[in-house]
Amino acid sequence: MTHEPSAFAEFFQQATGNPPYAYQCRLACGPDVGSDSPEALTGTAACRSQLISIPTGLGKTAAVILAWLWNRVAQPDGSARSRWPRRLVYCLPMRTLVEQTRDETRKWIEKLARKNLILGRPPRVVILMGGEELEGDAKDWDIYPEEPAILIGTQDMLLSRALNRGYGMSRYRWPMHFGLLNNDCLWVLDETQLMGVGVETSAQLDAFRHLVEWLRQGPCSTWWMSATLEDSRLGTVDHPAPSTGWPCLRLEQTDRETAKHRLGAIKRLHKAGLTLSKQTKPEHYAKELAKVVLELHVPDQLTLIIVNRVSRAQELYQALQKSGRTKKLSLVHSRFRSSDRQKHQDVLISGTGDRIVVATQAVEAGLDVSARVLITELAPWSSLVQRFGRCNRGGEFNADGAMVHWVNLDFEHADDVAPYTLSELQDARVELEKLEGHSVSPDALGSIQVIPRSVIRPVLRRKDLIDLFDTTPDIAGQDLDISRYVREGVDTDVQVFWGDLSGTDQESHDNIKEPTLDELCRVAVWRFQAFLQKLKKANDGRNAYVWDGLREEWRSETKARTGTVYLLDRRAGGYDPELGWTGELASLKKEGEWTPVAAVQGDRSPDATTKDPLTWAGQALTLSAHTEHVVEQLKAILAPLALASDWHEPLLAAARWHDVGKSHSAFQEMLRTAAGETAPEGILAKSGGRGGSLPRWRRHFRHELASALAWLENHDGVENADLVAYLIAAHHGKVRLSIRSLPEEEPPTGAGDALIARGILDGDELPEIAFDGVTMPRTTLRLELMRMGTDAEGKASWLARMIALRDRLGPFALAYLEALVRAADMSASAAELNRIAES
Amino acid sequence: MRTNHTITLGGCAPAPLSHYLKALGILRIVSEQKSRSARAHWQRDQFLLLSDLDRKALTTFLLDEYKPTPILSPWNAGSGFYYQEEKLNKRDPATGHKVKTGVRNQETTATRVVSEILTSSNPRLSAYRQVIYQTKLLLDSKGQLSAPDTSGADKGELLIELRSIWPDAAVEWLDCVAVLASSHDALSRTGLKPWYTTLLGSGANDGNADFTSNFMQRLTEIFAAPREQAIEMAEHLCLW
Repeated sequence: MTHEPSAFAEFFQQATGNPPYAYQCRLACGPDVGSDSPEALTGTAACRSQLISIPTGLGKTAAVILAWLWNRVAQPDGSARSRWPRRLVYCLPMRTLVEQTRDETRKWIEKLARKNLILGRPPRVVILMGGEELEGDAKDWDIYPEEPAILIGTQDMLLSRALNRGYGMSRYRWPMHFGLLNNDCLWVLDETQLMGVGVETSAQLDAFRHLVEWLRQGPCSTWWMSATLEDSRLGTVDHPAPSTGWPCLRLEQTDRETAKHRLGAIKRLHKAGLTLSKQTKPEHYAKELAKVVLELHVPDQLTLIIVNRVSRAQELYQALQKSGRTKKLSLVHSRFRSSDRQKHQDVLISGTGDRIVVATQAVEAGLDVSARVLITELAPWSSLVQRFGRCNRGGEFNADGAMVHWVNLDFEHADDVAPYTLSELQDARVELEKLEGHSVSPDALGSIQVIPRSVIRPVLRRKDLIDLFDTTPDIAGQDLDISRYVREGVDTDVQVFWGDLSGTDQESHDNIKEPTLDELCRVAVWRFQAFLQKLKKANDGRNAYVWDGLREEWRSETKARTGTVYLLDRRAGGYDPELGWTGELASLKKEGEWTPVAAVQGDRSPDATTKDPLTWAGQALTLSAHTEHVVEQLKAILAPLALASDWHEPLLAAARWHDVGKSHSAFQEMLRTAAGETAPEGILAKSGGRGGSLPRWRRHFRHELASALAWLENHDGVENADLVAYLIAAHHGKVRLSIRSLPEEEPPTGAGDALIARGILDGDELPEIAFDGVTMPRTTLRLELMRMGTDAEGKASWLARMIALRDRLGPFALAYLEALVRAADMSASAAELNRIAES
Repeated sequence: MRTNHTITLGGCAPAPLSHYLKALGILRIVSEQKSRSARAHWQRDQFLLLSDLDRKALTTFLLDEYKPTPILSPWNAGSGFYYQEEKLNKRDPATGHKVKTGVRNQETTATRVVSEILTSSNPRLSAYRQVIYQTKLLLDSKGQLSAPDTSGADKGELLIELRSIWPDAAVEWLDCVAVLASSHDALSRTGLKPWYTTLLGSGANDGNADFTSNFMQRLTEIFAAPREQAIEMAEHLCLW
C-alpha cells in the first residue's frame, strides 16, 4: 500500500487519539505553523539543539516522539528524512518513567503503522536499563546501525553509554554504544530539573559532537525539556550560550487557551498538622502520617503520598497495613527488582478507583497519574512543582476540588535532609506558607520564581572524553570512574541480584549466569557499602561477588563501586519483595528472611576476554564463506547510510581481513577438533560445535590481533592502513588502543623472552590465504609494535599509531566506524545461525 | 617524520629530579608547540632530543616563540590572587605582633607578578592572561578575598569549579596537581575528594613557597631580560 503524506494534525490524532497543541505542531513542522492551519502542517522542521520549556501535563513526550516520527520515518522525501537523526535517544532521570514512555511510544507507532503512516519497517523501540534485555528484537539494536530506532533509558544507562562506560552491559560492547549514541542521534533529555550533573554533561557532549576538528556521521542535536530548567546551566565551558540566548520552544497564547482546564486546575494547598524533626521517632511519624492519610483519603479516588526517603516510604506503607489498609495499597520507589516493582506500580498507573499509593521522588516527574488528594513532604521548589503536577492533572476534579497537603520538615543538619539541602527546603517553605489555602495550579505556580542555589558540579572536559575512548582497564584492572558526570555524587547506585550459592563447591558459583533486568535491584552505593560491612562482620561464608572477566569467575568483593553489578548470596537477604531493598542482613538460620531468587533468570554466561561467542555457529563454516557474509552484510548496512565514500574502502578491507587470524594453526586445530568429520575443506571460521582447546599458554588467544598484525605486515604504509588495522583489531572490543599481554601470560618453555600478547608469540606464522578479496602470502606475525617508541626501521608503535588515528578522526567517528564493522560481523553471524536453524 | 636533529641537553640528566622533570617539560613543549614528531631518550645520563630543531633553533624557540602553559594555584594563599591584610604600626601588647586591620589591601610579590602578566600585552602570554582573568571573575563572584579554608570542602570545591571553567591547557595542569577521586568520606556534596600529587606538595606549594608564583616570576624576568642575558640564562643555566 502506498504511503499518503498527511498533515501533522491528522498524523498526531491517528497516533494519540487527540488533536495536537499548537506547540506540538511547531516542534514538528517549524516555528511558524499553528494547529489551525492544516495546509501549513505538511512541512518539516529543522532539527537543532534547543530547550523545550512546557508545563507538566501538556504532552511533551508525544510532542517529541511524534515530531521525530513525522520527520524521520513518515516523510516520503528521502532528503527531508536525512536531515533528521536516525536514532532518537530519550533520556529520563528515573526508571519509573522509562517503561511508561516505551509503552506509549510503541502504542503510537503501532497505530501509525496500522494506518500506513510510517514508511518501511517501523522503528525499533528499545529500553536500556541495565541487565540483559530479554526481548529478542530489541536485544541487539546495536547491530542495525542503518535502521531508525528509538532508544529510551535512564540517564545512568544512556549517559554512561555516551561516555563509553555503559552501565550494566558487556564492557566489550561499550565502544559500539559509544559510537552509535554519539553519531546520527537526537538526544532528548526529559525532566532535566531532576538530572543534576547530567545536564552539564549533556551540554558538553552536545558541544563535542559539533567540534569542527572531530568527524561525525549524520546530524546530532540535543533537546532539553523541563518546565523549570535553569538555562544558565547549559552554558558550559565548551557550550557557551549564544548571544541571542538558547533557542526555546514555549507555550503561546493559543496553547494556553486550549489547555485552560489543565493550566488552571484547582488544587488547594494546606499545611498538614504534623512536622518531621530530629526528635520524631520514625515509627511514630509513620503511624501519625498513616492516620492523616486515612482521614484525608476520599473513597473511590486516588490518594498519593510522596516522601523524601525510601525508608520512610517503607515504614509508612507498613503503618498503613497495620491500620487495616491492606488492599488497593501500593509502594513505589526505585529500590525494587523490576517485576516486584511492576506489581506495585500497576496499582498506580493501570489501576482505577480507590487507591492509596505511597511513593518517593520516583513518581515525581512525568508519570501520567492524577490524584484527588496529594500529600507530600517538604521538598525543593522544582520538585514540589512536579509533585503538584500529579494532583488533578487534567482538571478532572475541578468541580469536586482536589487537595494538596504538605508536611513540614524541621531539621538543623544537612545530613538529615539529604538528598536535599537545608537552604533549598527553606526557600520552598517560604513559598508554601505564602500559598496556604490557595490553588497550586500550573498557572498559579508559573508566576513564582524560586532561583535554585548554585550547586558545584564537575564538568566533563574534552580530555576526559578522549581518555574514556580507551576501554583497556588500568594495570590494577580498574576503569575510569564516570559516575561524577552521570549523577550527583550523593545519588549513585550499584545493581544487585541474588543467586543460590548454598552449594559448597565451585559449581554453584559457576552456574550463575548473567542477570536479566528482572533480577536486578538498584541500591545507593553507600547503603550497599553498609550492607557489605554487615556481611563482613557476620563472617559466615555469605559474600557479595563481582564478575572477573580475566579469570572468568565470580570473585568475592567487599567494596561497593558505582555502576557495578553484584551477585549476593540469597541467604544474605537485604531485600523483601514487598518492600524492596531493606539492607537488613537475614539470619542464616531463618530461610523466611532469605531473598527469593527472581522467577526469570538469565541463560547467558558473563562475557570474558577469552570468549569468542561468534566462533561457535551451529555448523562448521569456512573462512571464505563467513567473510563473504560479513562483506555482504556490511554493504547492506552502508547502502542506506550517507557515509562519506572515503570510508567505504577501509571498512570493506577490514571486513575482508577481520578473521584471517583464525587461520593460525593453533586456532585451526581447535576448530577442527570441534567441527567433526563432516566439516568442509579449507580454513574454518566457525567450528559448528564445542570442544577443542588451545594450549594453556595460548589461552588468551585473540584471532583479531593476529588478523590486524597480518594486515599491517602486508599493507603497512598504504593509505588508511592503520585505520583498517584498528577496525580489524577492535572487532570484538577486546583489542583496541593498546596491545599488551595479560596477567600470567608467559611464553612457552623454550621460547625464551620472546614477546607474547593475547596468545600470539612473536614470530608465529599464518599460512598463505587466497579467497575473494583477500590474497595473503605466508605471513609472520611481529609483535615489535607492542613496544614503546619506534622500532629499528623507524616505524611507530601500535599505541602511537592508534592515538594518531583517534586524534585525526576524533573519538566519535572512530567508534562509529568500529561499530559498523562489528554490526556487520554480528548480524552476519546471527544470520548464519538462523539459516542453520531453518535448515 | 622530520626528526633531522639529535641534540644533547646536558642540563637535563635523570638526576637530580628537577633536571629530569625539566627534560620532560622540554619534550612536551617542543612536541606541542614546534615539532610534533619530537622524540627523546636518555643515554649515558644525558638527554637526547630528536626533533627538527638544532641547538640554536631550540634556544631561539624558547626565547622567542615558546608560549608558557598557564599554571596557577588560586587555592593557595601565596598564589598571587589574594592581598595580604593591612597591618598597623601599633603592636598587640599580648603577642608583640603588629595589629591587623582585617582589610586585605596589601600587595605581595605574588600579586604583583599576577598583575604584571594580566596587564602585559605580550602575545605569548595571552593564554596566561585569559586564565588569570577567568579566575579573578570566579573569585569575585564568590566574594573570595582570601585563600579557601583547607579544613572543609572549600579548597576541593574551588578545584572542581576551576576545572569546570578553565581552558583545556590549564585543566592539564590542574590534573597534575590533584586527582579528584570519588570518595565516601568526601567533604564536598559532589562526592569528590582531592588527592594531591606528592611531587607538587599539597597543591603546587612547598610550605609557603608557591611553585606557580615562582614560575611566573622567572618567566617575567627572562621575558624582560636583555638578549645576551636571556641566552645566558636559557643555555648555560638550563639546557646544556
